[in-house]
Amino acid sequence: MIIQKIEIQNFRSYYKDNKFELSDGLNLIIGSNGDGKTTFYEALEWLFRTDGTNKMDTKYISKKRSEELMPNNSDDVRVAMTYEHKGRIKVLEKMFHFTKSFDGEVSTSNYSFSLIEGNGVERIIKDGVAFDKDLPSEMRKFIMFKGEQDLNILEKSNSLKQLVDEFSEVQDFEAYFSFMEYATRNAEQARDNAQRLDKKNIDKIKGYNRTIEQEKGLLSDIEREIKIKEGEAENFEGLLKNIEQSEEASKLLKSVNQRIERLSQRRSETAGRIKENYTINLLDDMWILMGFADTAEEYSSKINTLMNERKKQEDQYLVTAGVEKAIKAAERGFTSLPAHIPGRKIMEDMLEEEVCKFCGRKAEKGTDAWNFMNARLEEYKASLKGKADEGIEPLYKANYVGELQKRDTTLNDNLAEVVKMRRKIQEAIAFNNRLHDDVKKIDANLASEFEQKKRILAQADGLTEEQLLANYDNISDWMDKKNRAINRIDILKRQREQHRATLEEAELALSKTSEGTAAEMYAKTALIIQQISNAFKNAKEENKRRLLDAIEEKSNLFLEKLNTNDFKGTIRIIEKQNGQGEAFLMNNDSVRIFNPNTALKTTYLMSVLFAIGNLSSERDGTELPLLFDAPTSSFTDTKENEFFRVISSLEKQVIIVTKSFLRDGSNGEAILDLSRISDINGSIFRIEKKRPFDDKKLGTIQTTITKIK
Amino acid sequence: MAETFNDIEELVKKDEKLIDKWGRRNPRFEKQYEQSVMRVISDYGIGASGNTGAKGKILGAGYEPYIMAFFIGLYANKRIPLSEDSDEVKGLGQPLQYWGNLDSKKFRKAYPNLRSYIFIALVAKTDIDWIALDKGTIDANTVVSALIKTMEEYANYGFSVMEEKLREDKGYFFSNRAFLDIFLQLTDKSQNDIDVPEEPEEL
Repeated sequence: MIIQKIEIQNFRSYYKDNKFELSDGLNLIIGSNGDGKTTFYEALEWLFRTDGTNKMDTKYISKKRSEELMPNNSDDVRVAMTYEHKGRIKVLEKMFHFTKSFDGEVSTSNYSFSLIEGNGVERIIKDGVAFDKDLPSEMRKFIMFKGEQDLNILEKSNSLKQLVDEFSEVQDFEAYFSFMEYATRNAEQARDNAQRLDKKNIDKIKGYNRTIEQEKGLLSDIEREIKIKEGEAENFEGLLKNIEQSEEASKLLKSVNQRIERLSQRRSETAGRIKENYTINLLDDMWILMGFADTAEEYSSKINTLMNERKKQEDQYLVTAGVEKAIKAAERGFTSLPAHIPGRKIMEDMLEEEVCKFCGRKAEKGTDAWNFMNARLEEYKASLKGKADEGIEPLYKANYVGELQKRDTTLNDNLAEVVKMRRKIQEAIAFNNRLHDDVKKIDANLASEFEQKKRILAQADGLTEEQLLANYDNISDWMDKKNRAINRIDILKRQREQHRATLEEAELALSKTSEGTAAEMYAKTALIIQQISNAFKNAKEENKRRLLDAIEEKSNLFLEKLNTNDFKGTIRIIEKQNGQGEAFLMNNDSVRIFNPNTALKTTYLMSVLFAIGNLSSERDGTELPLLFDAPTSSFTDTKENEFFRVISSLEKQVIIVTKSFLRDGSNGEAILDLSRISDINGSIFRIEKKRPFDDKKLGTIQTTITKIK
Repeated sequence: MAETFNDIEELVKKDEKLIDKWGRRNPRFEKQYEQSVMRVISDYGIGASGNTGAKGKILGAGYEPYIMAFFIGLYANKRIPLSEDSDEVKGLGQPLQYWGNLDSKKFRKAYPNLRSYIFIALVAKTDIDWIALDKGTIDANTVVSALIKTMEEYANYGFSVMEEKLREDKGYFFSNRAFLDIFLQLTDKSQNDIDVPEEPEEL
């Protein structure tokens, strides 16, 4: 089929009469946004519709035309296609009438859809539905494509079955199938009848029949389970395939999350160790004493002076009071230490050991030194009893200075700590600063982990974090389940072989049982008919496989042409368990290529389409045209030029609506890049909005067509 | 016998220790600092509180800013006599003997020993005829009053410093380093004596 001309009249932006005279190779219809590309495509969709829906609708009517129409005037919406098919020229035409009333309402009427054929002498007008004979409606999805994502036709639910029906001889088998079923049933009935008369072998026959029945039952159970398990395997395979691409992201995310958790924990531990409530430390840890050493020294020297002065005054007092002991003491020429020094225990030890532990000299019993120490001890003992026995009023009524002196001793014990206070404070501050630095470092690490996480999620094909993590957990589970199902299928298939053999054996034995009788003949006939029936079934499968192989082979030839200087891989076409087809790319190591770049995906899917189109031309000697709306939007300029060059050399009619080959002009309007289209072999049309137009008024929009070459 | 020998109790005998007499006193401060300092940085006037931080205050009981003020005066070695007008001064609610006990405060620890150091400082810095005290010619209460007066004068100076800081910046003492830096500076005899690290930047 070759489309020669397309006429569009008053269809949306196509105001009044417009036509495209197409060539039989590549046809490019180039337009910018809003120039009428999609409308062109939709006009054809409307024209090809043979199901009786969407006949007339005011939305199809050119706004400009309906607005300029005088009241009570009318015009037509018409889309027509002139095409050549098997040597005949035909016109497919769809149209309706529209009228504007006096109050401005537009109404539709007189719908017609016809296929007009000239036989040289007269015009034969048929119902447009007859177009289905030239282009079966189920084939249209293999020739018309909108955008790049529309190209994967095999994924549409029943495409494969339609392809098989259309292009293999399987359909021709259907009649034989029903006949074979009928024949088998009759043959078996005849055999059974004949065998019933064979009294001699009745028990054997019964036995075989039992076996046959039993095996058939078992086989049908096995078949059922195989189907179920195949469904399971395919289901898990599908699930795994879906997440296969995200598997790495799942793993990365999982480990990023673990690192974030560890870092967060370390951060809170580190931050928790920062203790810089310094104001409280001043009190609770007495840091405030950091400058106390001077005061302490002042205190000590004050108390020392005081103690001496106090003792001196006391001694003088006692002298004046005429105490003999005091006189003696005074004669010594120095102020004695207070009576309680060095203390009773130490003094007793020194007397016992006959040594002065202060100066280190011997003080043997009876010497002056020993006697002196003994007198000191006696003096102390007497002081405990009180001095009343001396008969002298004591000079001091209280010993507050003693309290102060005692406090001095305690103070001196603790002074070392006070002196070290500044160092301690410095260390605490430095420690906290180190922790702050650590927290800063952890924060930097955390920030980079969060960045990484953001990157993973941003590139996870729309999967959420929860989904990715769930996928991670699911992978091994699904893998297990898939493998279990596959193993089970293996076992079942082996069992099936055994039971089939047993069944065949029993059937063969049954057919031989009645050798020499009339039943033998019937049994043999029944067996042969059974075998023929099986052969048909196998042939159907074989045929389908051959068709897929043929599409695959041809697709790869096209892929080779479309992707000459680029990586391409190999196209594989398979039938899935659910009966749908699938076309995908393989690397040379038989590993499937997921997510090929969009341009490669487009070319390989297009190759499949070309291959299918090719099959149809081989079948009935007519090639179907292909119609694409913006299929190359992901291509680079070079790739696109190459693509169109190849398409134009395919000897196949291809109509492509595109906004390629346009570049921005100086005042923002799109200008055709003439240097790029000069290389292209085929017809090129430029469609654009007629200027001037009002960007707020649809009624001013009109598509104009210019044939460039 | 030897152990009790060295005990202060034995030496002072029945006389009450001076520090205990001192401990029963409530030092006074000038009323002007109640609103401008005490209530700004402590729970003073609010009542017992389990958690100072909950009220956004830096210090707990009123004696805490008083201690700060006292040590500022002590280390600066500057005193300002309290106003002689009794209407302009008031006594702190808690006697000295309870200072630093902090029984009910969360996240704090008691520092009762600090009292002894304050006492020692007062003895060192107050001119008193101690021998006359032991002889009984002056009364212990007179001595304690003199100690308290010293304390009040140091604190009075300290409060004036704190008030000035707050006048410049209301939130001055909310920095962890505010008091610490004041004391480090006051007690830093030579600039090279100690190398205090800078406060880290806010994270």
